[in-house]
Amino acid sequence: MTRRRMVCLAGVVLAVGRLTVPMALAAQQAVAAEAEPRGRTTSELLSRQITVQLDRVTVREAVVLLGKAAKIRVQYQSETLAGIGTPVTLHARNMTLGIAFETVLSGTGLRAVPLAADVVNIQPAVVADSTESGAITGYVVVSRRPLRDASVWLDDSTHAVRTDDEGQYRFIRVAPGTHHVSVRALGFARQVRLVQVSAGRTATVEFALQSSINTLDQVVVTATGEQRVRELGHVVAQINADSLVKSAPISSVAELLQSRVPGLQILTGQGGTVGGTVSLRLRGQTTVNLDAEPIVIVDGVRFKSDNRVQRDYGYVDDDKRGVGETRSPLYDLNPNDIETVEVVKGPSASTLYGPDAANGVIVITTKRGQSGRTEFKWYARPVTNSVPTATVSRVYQAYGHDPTTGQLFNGNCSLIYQYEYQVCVLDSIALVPTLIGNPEYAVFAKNRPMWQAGASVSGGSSAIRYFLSANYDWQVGALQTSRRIAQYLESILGTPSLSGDIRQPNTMRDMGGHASVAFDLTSKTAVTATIGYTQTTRLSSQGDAAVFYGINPGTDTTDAGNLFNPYTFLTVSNEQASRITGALNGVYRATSWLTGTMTVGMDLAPSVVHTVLPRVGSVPDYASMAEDSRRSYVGRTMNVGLTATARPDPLSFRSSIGVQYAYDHTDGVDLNGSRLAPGSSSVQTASQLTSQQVWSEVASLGTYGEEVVGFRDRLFLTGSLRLDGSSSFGDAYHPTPTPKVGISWIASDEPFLKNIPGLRELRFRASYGAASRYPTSGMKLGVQQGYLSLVDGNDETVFDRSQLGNPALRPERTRETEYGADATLWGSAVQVGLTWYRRRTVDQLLLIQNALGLPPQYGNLGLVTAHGFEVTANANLITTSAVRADLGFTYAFHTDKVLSLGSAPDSRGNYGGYAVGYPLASEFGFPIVGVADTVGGGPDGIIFSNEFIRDSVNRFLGVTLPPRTYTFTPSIAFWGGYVRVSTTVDRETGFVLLGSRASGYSGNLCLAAYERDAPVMAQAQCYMNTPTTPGDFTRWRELTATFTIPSRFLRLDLLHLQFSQASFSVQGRNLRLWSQYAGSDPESRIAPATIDPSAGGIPQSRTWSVRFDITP
Amino acid sequence: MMSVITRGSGREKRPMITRMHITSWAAVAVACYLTIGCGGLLDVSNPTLIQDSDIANTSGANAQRLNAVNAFNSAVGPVAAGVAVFTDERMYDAPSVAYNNPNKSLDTRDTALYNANNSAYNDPQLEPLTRIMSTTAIAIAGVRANADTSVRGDYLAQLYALRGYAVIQMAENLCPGFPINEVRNGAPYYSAAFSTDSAFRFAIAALDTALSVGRDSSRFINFARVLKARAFADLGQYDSARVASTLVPTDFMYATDVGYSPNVLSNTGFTFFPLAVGNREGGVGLAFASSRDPRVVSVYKMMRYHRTADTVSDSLRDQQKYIPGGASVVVVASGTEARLLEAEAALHDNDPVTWLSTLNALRSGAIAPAMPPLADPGPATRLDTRFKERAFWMYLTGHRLGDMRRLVHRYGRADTTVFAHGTHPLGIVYGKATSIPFNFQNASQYNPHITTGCWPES
Repeated sequence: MTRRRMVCLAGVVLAVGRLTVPMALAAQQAVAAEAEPRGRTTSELLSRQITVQLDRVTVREAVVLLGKAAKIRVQYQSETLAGIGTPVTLHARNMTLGIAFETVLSGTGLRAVPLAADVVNIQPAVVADSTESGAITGYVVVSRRPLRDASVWLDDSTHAVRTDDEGQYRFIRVAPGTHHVSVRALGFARQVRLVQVSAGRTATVEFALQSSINTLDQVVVTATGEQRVRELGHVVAQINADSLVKSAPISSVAELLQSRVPGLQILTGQGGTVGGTVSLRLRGQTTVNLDAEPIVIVDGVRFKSDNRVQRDYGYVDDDKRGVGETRSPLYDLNPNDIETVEVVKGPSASTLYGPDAANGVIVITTKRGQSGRTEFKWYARPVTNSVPTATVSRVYQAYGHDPTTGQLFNGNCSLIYQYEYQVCVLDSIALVPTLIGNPEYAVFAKNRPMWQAGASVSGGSSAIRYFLSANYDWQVGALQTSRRIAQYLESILGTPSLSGDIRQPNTMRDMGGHASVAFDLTSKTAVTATIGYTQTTRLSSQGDAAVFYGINPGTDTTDAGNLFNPYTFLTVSNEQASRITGALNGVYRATSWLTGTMTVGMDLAPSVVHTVLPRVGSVPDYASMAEDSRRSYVGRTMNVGLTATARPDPLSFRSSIGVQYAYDHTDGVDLNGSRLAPGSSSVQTASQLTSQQVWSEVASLGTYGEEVVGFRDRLFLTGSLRLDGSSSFGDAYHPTPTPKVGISWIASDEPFLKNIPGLRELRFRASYGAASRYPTSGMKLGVQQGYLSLVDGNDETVFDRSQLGNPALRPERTRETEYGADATLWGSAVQVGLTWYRRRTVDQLLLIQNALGLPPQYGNLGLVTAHGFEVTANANLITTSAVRADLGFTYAFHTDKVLSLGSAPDSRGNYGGYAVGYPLASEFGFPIVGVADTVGGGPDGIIFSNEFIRDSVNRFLGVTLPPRTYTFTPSIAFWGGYVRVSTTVDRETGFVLLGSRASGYSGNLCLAAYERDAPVMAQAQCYMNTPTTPGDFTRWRELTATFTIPSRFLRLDLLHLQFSQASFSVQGRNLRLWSQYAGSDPESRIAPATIDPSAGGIPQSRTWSVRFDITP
Repeated sequence: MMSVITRGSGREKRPMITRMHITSWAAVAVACYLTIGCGGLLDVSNPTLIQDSDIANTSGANAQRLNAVNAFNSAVGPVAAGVAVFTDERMYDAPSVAYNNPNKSLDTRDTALYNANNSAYNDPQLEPLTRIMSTTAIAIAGVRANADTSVRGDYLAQLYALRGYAVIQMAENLCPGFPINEVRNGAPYYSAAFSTDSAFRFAIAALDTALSVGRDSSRFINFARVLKARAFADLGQYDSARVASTLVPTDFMYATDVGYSPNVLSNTGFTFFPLAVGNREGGVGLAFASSRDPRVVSVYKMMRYHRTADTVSDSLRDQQKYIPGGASVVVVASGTEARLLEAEAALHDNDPVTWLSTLNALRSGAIAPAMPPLADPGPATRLDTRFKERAFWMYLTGHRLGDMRRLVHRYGRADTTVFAHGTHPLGIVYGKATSIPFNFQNASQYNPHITTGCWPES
């Protein structure tokens, strides 16, 4: 060890030794014993007798000395005691601690409140502000430790306060009378107390929570406000993002969601690129022509989450953000700013979210400030990013010569094709060196750096709470321009060194922040304002795909000229995007039984993508181009709701009504220029310029009512109704109510099931709901497109009715019935949730091609059914004082079937087709059933295109979305929970993909395409451009080892550093893939936002990261 | 009605569930009213979506007309190309290892492979011609409503003439029983099945409309006149044909626009399957290649697989009428055709002098340098000469199949004397199809009137 290292280590030890802040609560809670009733502790503590002598010390010193005298810990906030300059003198013998504190704190407005048997907290005294109202305060503890962030509810209204660092909560200006105060916190059983409040007095209610993994008393955010899980007739998956991001390899919302919710599939594009396409599917693909993405709601505000613009040309089209892969807007959300994510899977649950919630809803709640002392948190996460070459397909190249001239074909000889045309004689076959590690040709760089860092500060008082965060994210894709290609590009540009943009064709920088301020305007009104901001710069070269697919590097420097289009590598796209999402949530507690809520929000996302191949060096004018794609997205949300509650024993009622308005508008323009001026990279200098406007505007207004009736807090019936209007419905549409009903029965609370051994909790639930997807304007009104064409000898503007309208179109309507059961067994050792659903979509919008020669039009024709089964299970396998081992498991099965297409024809394509009797997003084709090696005078061992025999029937070859998904998440914690290791393994089965096996556009991945001696059937398979191959795979998704620094180390005091919590984790992602898929990666889809099953792109990147989380 | 429930200690009186519900559902009613009544909140605009009201003006009407013309320009090439392959205008050029099935079937008139129920058949005839019908129907409505009165008549004349062309081409090329679908009132209109003759009469009606509404535009009027004469000739009504064509000047031409069609009929357009200029295909075909007729310009063809120019055989030649990328147009109707129809009428009237003088007038005046005059071949071969002249004058313009079928149906020739027969160079026996089928599967799927396929041997 070097001297410098020794000095550093010594410094760290000294620094840790000076820490005085209490140990990490989380770690303590993990090993805590049973809770102790709090009232008895209080009286004992303050009755303790002490002897002290204080002479002109500060108040701060005085309380510390009192603590020492009583051998207890004294907690206080520095700012609480700062500035109290009056010196304190106290000489006492056998004085009770309570009197001693009262004496010392006299006149300061402070008081000493015992938290546990050996802890006293110094805090402001609570004083009711009016003689006409009272106040309620108290503490929430777990195992004698204060519990922060617990939700404390007054009279089961929709508004809750949260406990601060000391576990304290406070309601002020409470009307005199009897009130219910309840506490809910994740992982703990709910408790309810009845409290009598008198005018001018402060009532104290304290809670000692019992830990529980019972989920039924957890609270989730629903369309009508927060509700307990036990009241819901449907399943809601909840992800605790706050704790997860610290311990799992998560750098995006997509990674946060992946493998954690059964039935939620994350479809990704080119995995090795950064900032690529992400598409979400909840319970499979259920629509053909409309957007299948679930809607995302952030703090009550609609958040544009997909890559697509609903262009009113009668179809849903990809938005244009970036070259090659569009960047998912989900990257605009920083997972470090998210508190929880709740996934509402289908219409049985999502009815009240509006007319396009048929695909499900993802409800995201961002972090809020907590009252109490100011808390800083820092995290840093250096990442290395690689493409695992083990998953890269082998790419072959054939070399040959012209039979007539003898001229060599430098890597451009394909036996079958070229022999068929008799233009090439095969000389040799070689593996293309680009993908197998030759540094001259290497296109995958190892260990590309990525860096993520952020900080947050939160705090406030009971009246105002705040949270502020900032983050920085820099990522570099794993692709690089190989040295050999770079040399060639340098020769084109006439420069000795290429710019970093070209050498490193894919990078992304994100900077952003999040702010939340919550304050109580009056005793009845609370407001929370949140705003998030993200600014992104993303560089991508068209070469990032070309480098993988199309290069032909040759054998020497001159052969680099055989690049299929070298200018592709010089084309760089620079995306500048920013986003502001703001929400203002207000709560008005009119009475103890009536609460009004209002949410006003806006989502703004302007972006510009500048793509250019400048006319520099020897780049010819015809190759030069520039393109500006500008998009401006505006989303507005306004929700107003009213919830009333009543509890006539043994019943309970919760009545909600609301109005929701959503507005979604994208405006954009594309400028495409070619033949730029010499030296220019500006579209303005193009000699040929075309433009296109992009416009989408949809407004919807809906109202709903919901009634939840409870019986003895164990049987809940829910009924709701929603009515919608939308600009897309058109004038001919008459709003149709969409209903929802649900039942939840906590059977284990029934007396006759109370004493079943091992059964702690058993619930049965069922729900039914309807939701709809609406057609685009173009589908209803028809599409007429204007274009220039040479007619009558002149360039004329022509209007073509390319699609007939159908004013009678109705929305697609999806009805879903869901049944399920949840059980907690053997204490809390095993938790199981089972869900079965059945879905029926009528009026499926399908494009009727009409007879050949006539424009097509949309019709409500299709009938699609679906059903599925989901399992969530968690088991505690081992629990000892030293080790705890758990296993999580999820399973989801989904299948759907087209029952009718009306008069619309089958679409038996090989890019995600459909036909009656088969699932949506299916693969069809004419499989090769044999070969007839007869052309050329008899069998010659070479199969030509007209020699293989295809099945005469266009057959179903498989479904392209995995019908079965499994996730295994074992974890083990030891050393008292300070070390925790967990891992996640995914498996997806039962689907097929269009592989890159053969000579498709992905080139030459099929050796038999060149081998004259290969079996003739293998040659025939290679000849097919789009063979279907099984996509089943098992992936080692995550591995995490988290180390929580024991509090005794944090408590050491050195250099005045006062860490309260510190942890670090080692995280790996996408560590291993097992698959028989013939292409590169079954999870890298060419167009994940569609049902196009083409796969085989750049494999998912493997990342290793270390994350440090520090709370001073 | 009001009532009270008691909670807690009993000292406190709380509002009733009933009152709460009344309040709640009253609010729901208000919200419902707002949802339905606040229509303004749902008003959106879309400047990128062209609606009917946006083009309800003179320029919009003209743009719709031009779209129909564009559809016509797009259709002529594929239609003529299909005719050329099916007839003796073009033929195979190679051992054909890559000669894909649909085109091979078209060239060999193989009704078994190229049958009416073949869903893979891409229908190069009915589809583009139906598109002419649908676009002209939309444009006629727009022109009638919004075109300037000074041009309305001529625009309508042009559009009706285009419809006449489409229907004539359907009737000449397709086996009987085809539909004439179009768009009416913004929705698909599916017609009954048409026989060949009823379609010609349908076309004549459309052309009569064109002639009645057109004013001084010799271009559109003459176009309609030539088409009408062609339809009458197809019906065997040669006197009517002569009447219709009489006023058409010999130098008149109605052609597709430059820049669109040429590539469709050019060599480039045929690179996906190898075809040369026809040369006595099937033993009865005309010698388009070896005759070296200046009306069928050709050059030695580079054989696709042997990669050498076949200068030995005199038969495999590339056509040069439509040069790839060149400013070639397809002449759909012309004064030449009018004269040829008049000559045919004269021959039908047993007036060989007028017939011969008409043909020779064209050979001397309609091409430069002038071609040598024909001598009267005698009664036995006058008809052959007449149709040969038509075939060379109108090579690759989509007329040939109608002429060949006319020889069979109006002049009583056996189809084996008109259509190639025997063994195709691929070793396949020529089929018996004498007309091109349409995609029955597609047509019957949407059109309830189409219940049986047509018979390509008709």
